[in-house]
Amino acid sequence: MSTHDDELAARTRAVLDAAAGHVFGTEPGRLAAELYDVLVRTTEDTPRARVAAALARVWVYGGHADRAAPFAEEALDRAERTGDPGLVAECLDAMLTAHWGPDELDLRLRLGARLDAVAAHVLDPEVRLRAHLWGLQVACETLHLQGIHRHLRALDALGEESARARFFAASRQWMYDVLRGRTDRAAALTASVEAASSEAGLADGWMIVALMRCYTAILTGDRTTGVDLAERMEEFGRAEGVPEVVAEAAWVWALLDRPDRVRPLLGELGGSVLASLPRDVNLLLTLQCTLAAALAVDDRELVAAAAALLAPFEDRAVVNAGAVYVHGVTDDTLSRAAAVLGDTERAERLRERALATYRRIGAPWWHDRLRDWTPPAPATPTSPPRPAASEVHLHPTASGVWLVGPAPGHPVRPLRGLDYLHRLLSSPGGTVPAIDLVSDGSGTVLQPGTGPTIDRQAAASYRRRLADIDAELAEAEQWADQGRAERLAGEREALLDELGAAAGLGGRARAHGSTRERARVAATKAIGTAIDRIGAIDADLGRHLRDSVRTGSECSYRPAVGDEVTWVLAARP
Amino acid sequence: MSTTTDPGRTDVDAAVAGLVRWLETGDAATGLFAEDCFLDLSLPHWRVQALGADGVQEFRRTEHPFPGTVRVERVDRTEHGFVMAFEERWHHEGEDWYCREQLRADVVGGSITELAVYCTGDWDAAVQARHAAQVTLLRP
Repeated sequence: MSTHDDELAARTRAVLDAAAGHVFGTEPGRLAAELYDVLVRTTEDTPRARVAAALARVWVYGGHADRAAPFAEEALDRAERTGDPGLVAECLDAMLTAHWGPDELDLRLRLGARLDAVAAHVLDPEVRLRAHLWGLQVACETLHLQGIHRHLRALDALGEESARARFFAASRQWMYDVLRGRTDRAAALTASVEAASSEAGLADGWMIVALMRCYTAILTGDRTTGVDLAERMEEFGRAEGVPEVVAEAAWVWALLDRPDRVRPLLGELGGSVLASLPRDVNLLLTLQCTLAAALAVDDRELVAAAAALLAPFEDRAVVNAGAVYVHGVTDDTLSRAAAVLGDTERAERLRERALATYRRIGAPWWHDRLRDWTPPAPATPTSPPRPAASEVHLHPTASGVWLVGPAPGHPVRPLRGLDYLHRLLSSPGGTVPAIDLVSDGSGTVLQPGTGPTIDRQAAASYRRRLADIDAELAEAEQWADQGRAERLAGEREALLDELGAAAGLGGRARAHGSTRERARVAATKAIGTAIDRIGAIDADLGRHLRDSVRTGSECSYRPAVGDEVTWVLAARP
Repeated sequence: MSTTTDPGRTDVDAAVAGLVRWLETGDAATGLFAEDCFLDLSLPHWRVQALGADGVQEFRRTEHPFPGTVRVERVDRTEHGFVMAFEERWHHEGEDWYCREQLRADVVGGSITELAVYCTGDWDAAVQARHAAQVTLLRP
């Protein structure tokens, strides 16, 4: 073996070790690029299969499942050429990981059965553990009780061999107990999971323990513990920007009968957020929790949006990744959504099927909850008008989160469009060039090149002057000072030309219009997204902004007479 | 799901790995370049060509004999071979150099028969520093 080969082998081991430590749900950083660079240098089947499988998992764990499939397929192809059942099992695991979306259940069933057969001939307990976890996942997705029993028994047996297996065996037994309405063993199973997690050194074990405690507390009526853990779930979901955790936190608050905590979280899932979710492992979970929470607070706009997205997945169980928890069946939430939205025939059909499923699997908590549910009173044609004199917040807080909507305001994650809106609302009646909104301080749109160009300092100065001119223009127009307005408009046009004439990358002359066009598109899109988000929190406010805000090369906020709003644009001490 | 083995794909994978190794070390595995291999290299404001396995390797030895490192960003298999995006870094006469390239390669029987390379040209340390100061890349 040459030095070059030795170096490659060492690099391969290093990147595979790094990939093994990659935590589900976290960004891969440079890891994916490192794995890819090693992959293209590797020609032997075994290491290439391992690196490709690791790369597939890294993409899925990092939330880019769409990039994973080709690597998983190549890994399995290479593994099959080696004839090594352990390697084939490892790559089948990668294939299952890469095809974890709601549209790929049939493929998961086939791959899971194959993995089950291959792993039966492998002695490595880690390989058998993975096979049984996938078997359990698929059995839960299809609510195949015999399959669930068989894989739980197998996990239990593996638990005698390792702490890691004990962690999975006890946590999944708890999942099944809770689904079947049993909480008498919950405390003992949670203690066992905590001990096994500590012994095995599992990085994300604490999350499973917290989830077990949370749902056990809710089911046993321990509100204090439930509230404490709901707070932690909400904080984690917001801090990490994870939609499925935000949705689950909303649902947990709904179970705790705290609509005041549900609504702000749902506000973060409204607008285009749900529609743009990737069709990956978390799609059904996010939609199911969002819909259940929206039903709990009678948010009909969100009920309609979430139900429309969940509708293609009728008659499905919703399973948190890795069979951590079963969130009921889609027929349950869809039947209640149909009832709220007035489709009584569909509501009854789905309700009967959901109740039958819950009876078949022996899930009394879910069954009784659905059986006893009654739809809320019909909605009024329009939501109540916003009091004219009320104050409406739109500003960032000290923590970076924005406060949006009628007092006391709803917390919303930062969005570029909120910054742009804030700027427009700060000078009602005035105009702000899109290029000024978009490029302010970032240099993203106007990127100095190597040719003759204005420098950064000059560009910043021009933009400051543009902002001043806008204010002066508004004043001149207000005072009907036509001469001054024309002079200012001329100066403004000249400055925009100067900014637009800056050379492009590599010294190429930039098409004058292209920068402004990009700015126009970027500003329009960002402001539209922000208004959608605000509209999900307060439909009236969303309508007001859609009516009053104009976007284009120049943007403005001009409320109609009688439709003015008292904005609070800065956090109060 | 595809579980069949594509011998062409294996040939392409081997050619990619061999080419990367040649770019880094100057050592070409036997058969990496076909006897009638044709190289067409486009540079900023310049274009050169070489013919034959020996001609291609001689061109590299003459014009760019420095060992260095390659970072592969992307490889796409094509009907005839592959397209590869990558960057090269090397050290020469006390200075660190850099270039970015995109190449299209045709592969027959595991050997590269044609290489069309598009290169940014060599950036010395001053150009790299000026670029870093003036441009913030969206995807570094």
